[in-house]
Amino acid sequence: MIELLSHPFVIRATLAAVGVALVCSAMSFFVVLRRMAFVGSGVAHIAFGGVALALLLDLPVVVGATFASVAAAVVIAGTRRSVTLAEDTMIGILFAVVMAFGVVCAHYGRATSVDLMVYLFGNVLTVTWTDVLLIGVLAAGVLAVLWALFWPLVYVSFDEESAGLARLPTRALTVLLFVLIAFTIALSIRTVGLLLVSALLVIPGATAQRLAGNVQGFLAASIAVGLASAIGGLALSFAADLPSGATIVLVAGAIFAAASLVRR
Amino acid sequence: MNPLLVSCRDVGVELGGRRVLVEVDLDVHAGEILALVGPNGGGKTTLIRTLAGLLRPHRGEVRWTAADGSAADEPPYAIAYVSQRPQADFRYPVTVREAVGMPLLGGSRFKARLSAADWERVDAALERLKITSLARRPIGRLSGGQQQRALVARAIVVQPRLLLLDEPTTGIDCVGQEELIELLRELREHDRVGIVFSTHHPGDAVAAIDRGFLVDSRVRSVPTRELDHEYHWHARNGEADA
Repeated sequence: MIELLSHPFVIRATLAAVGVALVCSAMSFFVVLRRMAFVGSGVAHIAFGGVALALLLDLPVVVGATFASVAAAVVIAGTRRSVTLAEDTMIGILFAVVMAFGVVCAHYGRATSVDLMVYLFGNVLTVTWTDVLLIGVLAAGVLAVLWALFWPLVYVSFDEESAGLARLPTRALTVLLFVLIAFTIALSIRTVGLLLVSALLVIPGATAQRLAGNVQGFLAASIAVGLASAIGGLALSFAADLPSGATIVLVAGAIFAAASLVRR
Repeated sequence: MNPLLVSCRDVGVELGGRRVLVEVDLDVHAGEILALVGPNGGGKTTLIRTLAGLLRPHRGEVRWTAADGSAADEPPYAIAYVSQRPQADFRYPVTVREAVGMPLLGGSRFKARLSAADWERVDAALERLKITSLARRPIGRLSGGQQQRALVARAIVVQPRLLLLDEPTTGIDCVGQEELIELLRELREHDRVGIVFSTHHPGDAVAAIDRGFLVDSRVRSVPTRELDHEYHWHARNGEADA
């Protein structure tokens, strides 16, 4: 196993998976407690439209995915107080329409089904040093904002009405939270893929919720589950020659099941 | 006369196309306790949320008076509101101390973290509500009455000029109710806070109330000694509009 670390592609894959797991599991605190699992899943599907459009226009895929997911996050966050459309209805409409748009773009573009599979299910073994650098920069940015504004974001999520009366900019903070989730999804594309990223946004937090009784414990448990899933899943995928993204998610699922049994 | 905090003139509020409040005229001054009684659906919660600036009237005007005497359409000072149905999500693993301190993150320039002085204010609020022993417990694991005390502590931590409480004694035992009324008196006497609270049981609080009102779409002033009688008479014979 140690020998594997002498291969540059293994080092790149490990760094990328650890970076993605770190950010996803930290954001998982809000995704689980604010019941945003469908937001994560919906924005990830919407990012697919951006990927397909980027392939069609010969633009960097990460740029397309980031643009689509951030735009979707802003629209969803901006319309969530609408009296005419519930949040999940808006997401349901957006993700179906944008995905359909992505399929049409893929039809006209030069993307092969293999290209699209990479973005849907991820392939961490093919990441380049540029990808690693991009993941590192995006991850550092998301974590820095999260660290700086953690308690105001917790307050707005815990009790939005009270936060408004305390004169916090509740709308701006909510949009920011959605945008952070969008960036998290965009940076996860190459590692676990768009269809599986929602698992990494949900499972670490859901596991931590069963184990921890305070905010600090919750965050620590969530990050531990995320990192253990990324490193354990990657190692297992090398050892058993399995798809890396799917194996990471399966390991995360196994940890959640084990934690659920322990709590019983 | 104590300084005016908020004033309603000919205020009407509609919710979902239904007129909940009609022609409301009400002033709240610093250093007084107002009690609102009335039947379910009579508009007590709507009036309190309107005074908090959470609901906009469809007619008339609500004006808040700043410390310098100028009137504003938005609350220019800290308003504390204890809701009848807390909006807080108690699944969050925040401790009582963290939850009580959260409003101190706000203000004209919001903060990312609380200072040592802020934490002292939090501890003082916990002490005032006699819940210091619960400070490190997750707020979601408290009983309903303990949670209510924590929410009152969270309300007073900002040292509000106007304190609005919607049926604050719900779920609190009789000793807790007496302590809460005593706290309201203290806030009125020492901190000159203007307090408005709604209740279905004015009896125990009557001695502390400066002015009482019957709220049933319209708001009618009632002598405090007659609040209990008026409330029960109206509940039996009056017609609540919802």
